[in-house]
Amino acid sequence: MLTRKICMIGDFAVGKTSLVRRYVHSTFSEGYHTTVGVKVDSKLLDLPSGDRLKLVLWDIAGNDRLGSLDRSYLQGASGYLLVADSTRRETLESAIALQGDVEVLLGPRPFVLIANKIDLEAQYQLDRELLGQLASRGWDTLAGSALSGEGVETAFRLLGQRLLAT
Amino acid sequence: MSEKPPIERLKGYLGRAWEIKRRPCYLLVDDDLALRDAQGQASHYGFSGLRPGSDMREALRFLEGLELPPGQILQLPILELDNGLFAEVHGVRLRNGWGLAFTDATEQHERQRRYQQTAHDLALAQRELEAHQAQLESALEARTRFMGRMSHEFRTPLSSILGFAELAQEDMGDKARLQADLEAIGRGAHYLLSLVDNLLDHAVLEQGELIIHPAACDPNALVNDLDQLFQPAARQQGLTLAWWLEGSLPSRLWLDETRLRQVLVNLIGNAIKFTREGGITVSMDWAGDRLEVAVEDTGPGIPPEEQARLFDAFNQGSTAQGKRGAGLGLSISRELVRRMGGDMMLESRPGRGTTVRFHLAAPARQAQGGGENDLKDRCILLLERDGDSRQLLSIFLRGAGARVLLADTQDQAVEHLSERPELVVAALLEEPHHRLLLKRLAGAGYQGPVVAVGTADDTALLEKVLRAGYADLICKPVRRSEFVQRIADLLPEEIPS
Repeated sequence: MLTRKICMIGDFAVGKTSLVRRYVHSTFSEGYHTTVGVKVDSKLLDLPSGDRLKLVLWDIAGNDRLGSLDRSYLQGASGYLLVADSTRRETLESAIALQGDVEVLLGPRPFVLIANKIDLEAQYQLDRELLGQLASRGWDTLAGSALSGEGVETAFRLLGQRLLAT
Repeated sequence: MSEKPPIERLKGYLGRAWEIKRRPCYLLVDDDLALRDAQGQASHYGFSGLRPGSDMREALRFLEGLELPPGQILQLPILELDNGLFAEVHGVRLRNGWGLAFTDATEQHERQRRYQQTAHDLALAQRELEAHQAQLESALEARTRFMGRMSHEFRTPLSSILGFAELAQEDMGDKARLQADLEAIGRGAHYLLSLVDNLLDHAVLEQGELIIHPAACDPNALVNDLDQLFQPAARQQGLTLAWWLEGSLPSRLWLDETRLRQVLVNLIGNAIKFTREGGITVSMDWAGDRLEVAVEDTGPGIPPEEQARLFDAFNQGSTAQGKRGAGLGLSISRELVRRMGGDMMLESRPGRGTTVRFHLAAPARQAQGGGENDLKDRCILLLERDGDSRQLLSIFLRGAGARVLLADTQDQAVEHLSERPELVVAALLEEPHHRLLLKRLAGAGYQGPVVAVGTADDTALLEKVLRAGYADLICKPVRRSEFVQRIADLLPEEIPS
């Protein structure tokens, strides 16, 4: 069975830990609890192709740019899930900057961008035009919610497919 | 036996202190993460029952999928473990496995967590404050824009009224032209009145002072009225206006007809204003004591990013550019519907049209007679100091078959009580006179309902009036059918003998 390390990347409080909890444990808890350091979980992914992939998910502390400590956590990652908070416009800009930082550090790696908290539709703030531009540059972008579960499975599955394609 | 030199004793002491505090643990595992050797306080990190060959894949899952060359150092300053503790991990990739050192980092984690949580909470709070500030600034801007638009909105009909008034003086000799001038003046005045009404409603709703006043309502009559009101405008624009009333709709509902009419006028008016071709369909359904209404048009639709803001006061969508109005209609309508125990939703697709749906509490009410004989042979005392108003209301009441006793002073009203009126209609008086009137009527033995007639500006008084003991407050301008209906609803069932 193939095993791949993937990292959760995004600004603070965008919901990286909640997405992992929803995906791995099917749970969600209200309130914001900052992540310090790293928490590692894993989940088996059965792909439509019949491949079985073990995703080792590294949930690391969020920030708007990569710090020196983050670099040690990213070492050896095969791909990453880039997370933005759809209710905070600036988190998409952070995600774009972080993607650049990660690419400099690791080289090209598969990634998927998820705009989290889409359940808070009335507070949506992301720049749709910018998202469209990212999609036209070949980014895989989708909207999701750790609270409702919408889009979460799809995001990890898509990333799994991209990992196997490389 | 020679003693160790002081520097060696110091190293030994500090080494033991470090071991006590940081609880080091050393592991050697092969490529399959099977244990080869362990030393130190492994159980502190949740690694129990270790022996050569133990499967460490789950405990050391952070090594899985890591493809590092031999000699590469792995450093994890803070790693959360399954037993809830935090460890600092140093590792080295060997030719056939891994060498790892764990030390306790729970204290560092807690220190950093406290600092980081506070910093992030502060950043989020600051962001929220900035968002509130932006909202306030946006509201202020909207109001400034509104003031500019209002001065324009008021000037347009006022100029028209003044212009046609001048023309009317010149056209005195030409009846047809004079008629046209007067109609133009009437249209301008009606538009001004609707603007003022909207502004007043918005102010009253903002202050939470608007009171909903349910009474019996004939939904079919309301639909007929609105159809007559809007068909000409729809036809003029080449649009169809269709009504779809479900068979379940009762003939009488208990709701605030004036406010429902206001909401429908707003919605249908908007639909006609913005639709260029096609038509408008208004459907009504009734279930579980609730009236459900949908106003659907084939207009240009509203972009998704504008839909949420459309219910904000003083905001008009981009499709409203060039159309007149204060941007208050939808905001007022939704608030009114909410006050009537319901809510309003908007669905729209650009290029496909817009549907506004709302529902509100509307229990069915048993049908009473209707039309001209609603008040047949009922005795009503009308107390109104203003001669014109007294005459108008008495015409309404007599037209519905009532026997009307007229009074222009409280003394006269009390004298008329000997003729046993079943209901008193009285012009609303300022405090404390409205209370004194009730006292005088009660003191003279009158026990029936007393209905106040006031102006729309008096709605703030309604609660006080009802608390004082009045049965209802009817606001001017009074519409004949509504006035008669409200009086009929308030009359006691049995005529006192």
